[in-house]
Amino acid sequence: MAWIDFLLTPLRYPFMLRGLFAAVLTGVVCATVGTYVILRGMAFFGDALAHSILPGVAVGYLITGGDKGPLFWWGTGTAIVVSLGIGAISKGARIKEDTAIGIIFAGMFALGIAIISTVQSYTVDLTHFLFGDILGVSGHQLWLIGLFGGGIILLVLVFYKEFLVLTFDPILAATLRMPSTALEYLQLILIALAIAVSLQTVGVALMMAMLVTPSATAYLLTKRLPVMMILASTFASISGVIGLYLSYYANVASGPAIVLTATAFFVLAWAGKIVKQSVRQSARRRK
Amino acid sequence: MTRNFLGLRKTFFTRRYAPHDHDAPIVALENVSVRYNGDLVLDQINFDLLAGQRVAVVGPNGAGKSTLFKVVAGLLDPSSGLVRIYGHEPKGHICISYIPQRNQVDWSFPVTVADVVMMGRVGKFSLLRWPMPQDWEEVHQALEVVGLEQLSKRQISELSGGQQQRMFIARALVQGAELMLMDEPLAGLDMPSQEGIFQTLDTLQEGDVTLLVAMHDLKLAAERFDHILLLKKKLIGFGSAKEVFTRELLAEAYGGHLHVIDGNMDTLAVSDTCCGGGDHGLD
Repeated sequence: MAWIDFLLTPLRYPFMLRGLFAAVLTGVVCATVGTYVILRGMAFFGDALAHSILPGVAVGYLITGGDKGPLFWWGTGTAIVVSLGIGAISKGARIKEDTAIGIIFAGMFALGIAIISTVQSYTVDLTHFLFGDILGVSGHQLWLIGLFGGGIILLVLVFYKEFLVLTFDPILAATLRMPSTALEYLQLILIALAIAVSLQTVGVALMMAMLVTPSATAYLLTKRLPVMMILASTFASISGVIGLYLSYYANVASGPAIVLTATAFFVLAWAGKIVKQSVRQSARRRK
Repeated sequence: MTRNFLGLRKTFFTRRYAPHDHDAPIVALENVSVRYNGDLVLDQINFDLLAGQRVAVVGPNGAGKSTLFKVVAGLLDPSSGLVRIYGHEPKGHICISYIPQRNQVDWSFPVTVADVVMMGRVGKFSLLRWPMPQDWEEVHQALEVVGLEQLSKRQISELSGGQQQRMFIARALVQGAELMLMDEPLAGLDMPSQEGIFQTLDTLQEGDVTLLVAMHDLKLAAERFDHILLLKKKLIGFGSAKEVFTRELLAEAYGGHLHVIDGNMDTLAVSDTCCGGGDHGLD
């Protein structure tokens, strides 16, 4: 059976197995959190946040001398600090929110690259930070991804109805006397954690796709929020798996392969929706 | 700060809401002024509302109607003056429902009509309490009151403008709202849809819900509401249509934008031409 061989051959390598687990886990986490990102129109915020954690990772990289273990904690810490910082700025800012985010985003990204560039052999490591190194995920890192990812999903479940009200109608959240500010910051922290957890999978530069694309695909296909989260997680996981196989057989970098697969799903869903609409319209015209 | 950090203690642990002092008026404003960036938006507003009163809030664009609602709902602190709901600060109350203007809602949001109505109820839930069958039962009863039970599973963009307003009224019912603030619920609706909303509001009247409705159609305000609140930064008039819609007060609120036409009725026939690009009143 050739196709079974086709599927099983890559699994003989432990790094492929770990990569697949990492892709599915981060896919589920990013897609779930990403649902809030697209419903609140925070795609740009997510992208900026991902880029802004680079200096933190870079400092950690310098201090630990290239050891990848502690980098997870450096990334997580920076992501939380930056998300709260952007949150605070956009609340009290005199300039427009997207302008403020843009300034922080570019500045922090440049700082990160500048720091990394002081190291001699920086190009290889920089590429890993920017585009991910999913096949380099260690067993220890996989545990961390699972632990944090599970925590994020648990918090989304615990605060499901609060987040729903806050996202759909912030004024209702206020008149129901929910602690809106605390909930908003919690939402930002969850996005930050999802980004930190996924750093190794797709890297900083393509993080936006993990947050936005599967959720956007699901958004086209359903009218209920829970269904949207489940569909988005499914698309993200399948994209992760297909992307990894593509990367194995076609010898493409894994991060872009995953993102391109997710994009293909979106294009399919979008085209399907357009076809469906035009069929319905022409049926109406015939009546 | 430590007593109630970010509202966590109050909301998640003890959930104490302000008591209702039923001897006090449901809404009381004392010398309320609001400034935005130095501009005076509301100027020394004073009025009391009694439970069950139905008040149309009218005035030209920029008169401060939305700001007034935000202050009453406790969403915005007045720069000076006092706001009291049943004798206590509005921020402690969950009996106030604010129904937004339709264009401020993301209608493509992936929720059904029943989901939105259920949102009114989750305010009373503690953390980790999920909707039970009896909660959904209450949601469906509220949808029945507003005549939308057939559409409960529809995505919200599939409703007409009037149905969308009635959905929010159902949400206010489920919330147990005693005070409803409706921000231009009639804007952009045709006559039958407006009629549907008024019929729904009439059924609420039996439950003693106090209503503040911002609107532009002065004729409709005069016909349908026992009280009119005429606003233009200051409180120009508050009372029956007969008392408020006088030539002097209308001229003060609308200036040259309003055609005052003498009718053969007790009230003046008026039309507010400054808003919505057309006459809203009698010709």
